[in-house]
Amino acid sequence: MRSLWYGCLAWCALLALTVQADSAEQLFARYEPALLQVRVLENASGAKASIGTGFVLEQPNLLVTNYHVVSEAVLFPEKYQLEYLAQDQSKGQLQVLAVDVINDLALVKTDYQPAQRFAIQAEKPVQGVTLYSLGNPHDLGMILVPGTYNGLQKYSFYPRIHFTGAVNSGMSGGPTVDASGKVVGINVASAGNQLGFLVPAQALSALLARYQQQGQPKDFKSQIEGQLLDSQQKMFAQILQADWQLKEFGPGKVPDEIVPFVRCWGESNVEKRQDQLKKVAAFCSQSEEIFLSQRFSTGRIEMQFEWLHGPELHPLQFFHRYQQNIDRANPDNQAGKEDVTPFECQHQVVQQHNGQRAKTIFCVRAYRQFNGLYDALYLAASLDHQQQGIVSHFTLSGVSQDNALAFSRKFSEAVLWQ
Amino acid sequence: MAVIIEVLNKQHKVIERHKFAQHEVRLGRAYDNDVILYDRHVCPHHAKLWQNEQGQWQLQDLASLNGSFLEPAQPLQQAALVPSGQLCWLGEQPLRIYDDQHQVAPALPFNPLEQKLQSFGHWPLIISLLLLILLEELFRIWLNAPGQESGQWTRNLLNLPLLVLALALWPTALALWSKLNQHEARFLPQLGLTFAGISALALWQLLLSIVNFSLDGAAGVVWLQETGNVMLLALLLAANFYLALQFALWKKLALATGLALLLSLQNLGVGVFVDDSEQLMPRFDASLLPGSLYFNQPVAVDDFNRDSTALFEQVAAQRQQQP
Repeated sequence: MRSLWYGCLAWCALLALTVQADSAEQLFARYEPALLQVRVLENASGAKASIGTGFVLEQPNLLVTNYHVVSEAVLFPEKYQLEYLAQDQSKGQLQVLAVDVINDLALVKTDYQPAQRFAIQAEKPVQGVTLYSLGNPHDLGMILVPGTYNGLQKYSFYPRIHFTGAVNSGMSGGPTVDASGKVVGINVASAGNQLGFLVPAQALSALLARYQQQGQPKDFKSQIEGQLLDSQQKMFAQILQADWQLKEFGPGKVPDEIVPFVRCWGESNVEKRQDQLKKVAAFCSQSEEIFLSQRFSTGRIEMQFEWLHGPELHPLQFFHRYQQNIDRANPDNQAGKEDVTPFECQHQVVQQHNGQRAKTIFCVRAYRQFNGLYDALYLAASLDHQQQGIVSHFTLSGVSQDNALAFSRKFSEAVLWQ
Repeated sequence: MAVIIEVLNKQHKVIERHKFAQHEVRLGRAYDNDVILYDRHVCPHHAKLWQNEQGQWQLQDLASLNGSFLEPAQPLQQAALVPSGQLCWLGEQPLRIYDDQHQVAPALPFNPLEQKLQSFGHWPLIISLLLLILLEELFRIWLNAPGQESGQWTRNLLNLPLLVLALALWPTALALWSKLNQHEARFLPQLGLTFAGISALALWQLLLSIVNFSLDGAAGVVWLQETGNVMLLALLLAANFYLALQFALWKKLALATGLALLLSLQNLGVGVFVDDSEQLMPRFDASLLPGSLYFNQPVAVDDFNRDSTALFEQVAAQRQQQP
């Protein structure tokens, strides 16, 4: 009797596994024809410059992929063109219809007509449910990767689904579906082993609705410009309205995690005996960036604080080392000279509201293709102490003039020397 | 009328001067001559100078192997008149013949500038300047606050003698050049001048770093610093060349200025050839000194913000310009 019981248990477990395997297999077999490899071809050489995955929607002639897969063809249509490669090795032209750079999505027109098409899941999945990510990693062929839905990424300004499963390069733009085959998210990024990120399907629905309402924009650059301006406006409204929490930092106070999506870390060399200059540093950032092209990214915020003190150093020695600490400041986003103007800087000793003096540097550069957007950089070094100083520094990318100035004002007032 | 015979070297500098009252002077390598010459191409009895009835001096070759010349490549066949001040050759040995009525140039007054420059060769001054340079170098090492454990002090101190030797190379080269050209070497004045120039450049940097900090790295300060550097360098080189070279004064000044500009331009030129990525980095003045060395009024926050606003307008205007 007992052996029969065990036998049944083993049998039932096997049955359950088979059912699950069957459903993944069926899913793949059913939807594989609706997956296309998206290729960006360089006109001059005819060779592919980059690849990604796209999937055909149930709406007629529409394909979805990541904006970052097709960005070069959007921004430089005279240099690149788009092509798809289907499972049956058929090829055809693609044409971008609408983009959402904030959520890294692109809607593309295709003449490819598969038997099966993808529908968007309107319901939010339950935490822990199994999802299947589809795509073509490293040009190795279409594959299916099972993983788990783990809710929205905490502390991120741009909503992203945390998917515990391997999303590899080349799978970008592929769909992640639930057991019923409906699209829950779009593969967008990976943070290493089994840690993948998806754009929620709601963002796709919104893009689709906007396209159906407004049609193809005349000029993608002004569409992207509008999206960037809106996004930074929302982000900075939240930051500027927040009541900034300050934390003790050496002899002063500096802003801490001012909004949930700005995270802070710290480090110091105080334990090390050899260096006579003690350094305590804190970094805060909103490190999710918006991809614009292969060499141009934006949308980041970074704040950095350093408390330097050299109780055994002569003031001249201390200030010499202090200067070496501030003489290089870099923007924290990538940009080429076709994308941005050179930085213009001002550097003056400023008497702050509390009466303290600080050497203050403010630099700004404009985006060439997007009117009204700038990268800004600020750095202030306190001057009124002989053997110690606080450096406060921030960089903003893709920000309007008003927001940059308002942030700068709020930031400089927040850093206090007790 | 007495005759004066100058024995010259190949560069026509006088190495011996003889004066004879007699009417005949014999020249050659043999010891029984009146003027005994060394050159190996001169015969033992090469030529003689004699005075004719009119009191004029004549040169006569004594059938020498290599000949005597009043004009190059025209050996004398017979006795020829030698006017006062005439250059002539026995073989390759140049001589100049004068009579005692020959006019000499008026006396040169002392050159006060040259005397001043020479006074840089006094040992106490040289040592003081050297100490100043070493002090400046020690200050620089101290400013970087090397840790005592790592032996950085010792390493840096061991480099000091090398530095002094390197600094002495330039005056040595100048002195050698003078010596090769049969002039006074003047090594010590050149050494003193070089040390003085280097000290002045170091003090100028020190002064300008304070000025630069107080004026918030204004563009004019950089310009002033560069101009000062070129001028000090040109001044040093001009003094060096004044003592070492035998050119006309304007040539020395032009050479010194040109060289100083070339050296400074090379310094500036480095900035022109850096790659594009450097141009995308923000460039600002990061100079920091203790607050007590800031001799200026700090700006108010509102003024700073107003200037920031102006920067936005400036870069917005640059958007349409070609990168």
